[in-house]
Amino acid sequence: MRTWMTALMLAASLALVGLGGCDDDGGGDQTGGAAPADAGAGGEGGMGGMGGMGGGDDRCVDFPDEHTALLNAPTTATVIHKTPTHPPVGQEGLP
Amino acid sequence: MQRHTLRWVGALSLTCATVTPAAAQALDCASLPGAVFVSGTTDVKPYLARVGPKLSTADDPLTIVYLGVGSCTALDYVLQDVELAGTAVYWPGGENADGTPVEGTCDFAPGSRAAMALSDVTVETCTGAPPPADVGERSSLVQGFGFVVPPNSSQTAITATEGYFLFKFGGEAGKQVPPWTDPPFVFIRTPASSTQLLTGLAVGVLGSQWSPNLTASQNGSGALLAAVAAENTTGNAEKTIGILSLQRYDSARDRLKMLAFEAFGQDCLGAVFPDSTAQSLDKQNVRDGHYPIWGYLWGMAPLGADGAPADAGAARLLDFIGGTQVVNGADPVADAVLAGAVPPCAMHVQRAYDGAPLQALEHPAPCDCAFEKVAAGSTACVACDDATPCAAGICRFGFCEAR
Repeated sequence: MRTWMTALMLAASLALVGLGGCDDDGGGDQTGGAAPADAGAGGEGGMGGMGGMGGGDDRCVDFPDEHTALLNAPTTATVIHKTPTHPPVGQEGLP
Repeated sequence: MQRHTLRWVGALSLTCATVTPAAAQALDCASLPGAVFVSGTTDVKPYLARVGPKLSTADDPLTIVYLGVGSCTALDYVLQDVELAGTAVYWPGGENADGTPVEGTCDFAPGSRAAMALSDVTVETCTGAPPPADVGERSSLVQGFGFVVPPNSSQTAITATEGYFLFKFGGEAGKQVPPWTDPPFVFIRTPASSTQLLTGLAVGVLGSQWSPNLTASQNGSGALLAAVAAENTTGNAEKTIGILSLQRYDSARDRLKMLAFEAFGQDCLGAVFPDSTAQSLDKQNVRDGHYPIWGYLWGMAPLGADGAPADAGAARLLDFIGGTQVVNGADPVADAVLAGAVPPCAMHVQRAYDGAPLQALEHPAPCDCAFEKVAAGSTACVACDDATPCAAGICRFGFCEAR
């Protein structure tokens, strides 16, 4: 029973991390370690909670280039999921 | 126009110092033993202050006579043959009561010229063109940059898009980025500063094209550090932000707070600090490619007919900075780490030019173990020496590296 509950709590925690990791505009600022790049491959066993985000979000699995893959690679470092405060992006000429 | 790129795979972390007021008794800089005149970025002074005292007191002394300015201005002294004038600093050896190295001042005689320049950006970034054929350009240490706020600010991160709006529009109505909406509290440098140029490349607004609304421009990294720190208790901490090199930040962590940064295209991960945590000193995210605001320290020097730096002192200093040879206790790797820079041998990514995309790097002679030992105070690597060789891997800088 204790093992099952631990697994459930772990799955829920990972789901929260994953949701923050691929949603730049969602929720408040969150801090914590993250493994977003492989989070999208979740969706089995105790990590089933991540399937809604990661499993269907190829953008966070198949990166378009090496640079982007490096930026988003799994890390043990602290990651902060910030809610941006800039106005909606329109014709500002963002790169 | 042929580009002379002299290979510099070593440690080079020079932080240009702010010029100290002239002493009452002016000393001719040229009279110092083994004087080499260096114009350089103000971000390299912490490194120079570490190695300078040891080099100037070596058996064959090399005294770094340093004029701290913005990176592009530093290059002008070499590229445009600008005369050095005023007062420079140097490190004669010895320590003050607080443990800091003794810093001396001297005056340039009329007609003085820089033997070399140190810049965190390339000639091409500053001028739009490669260096002339008679000027060598060598890359060395990795120097990071970031956004800083006063400790009393509640902010912890900034995204590249926020940075874009901040610097492109400068608080213009409808384009604001709360809480940084008040231009007088957005502390920037100048278009000649590598800090501003490299930060600009990271947020998509060239450092030469930031909003004219941003008038809180500081002439040196020391001045910017002081300006941001001064707002900690004025009631303006929350709306204050600035840009600073990691070398400068690491020497003032009790006065400032570094923000985590989320680059363009990094929304699958989020924002990260240059280090693995806000408190650590390991530069993990700079080294492994998660934190992209960095550039190489470049040494530029006029070349002689043989293709080597024309000035013997400049050649020695460039060789030292880009090498791994310890000279009279001055360690181009360890001193770089302690100053807040990253030797190339500890990097796992590289880039082809300022602001270029990151590429994975497998350094041929890595120094990760030594870096971790110096930066973090400990390493899981096995220690080694001539009497205790490695069971596996290569013994380098006292530790068994994987290759």
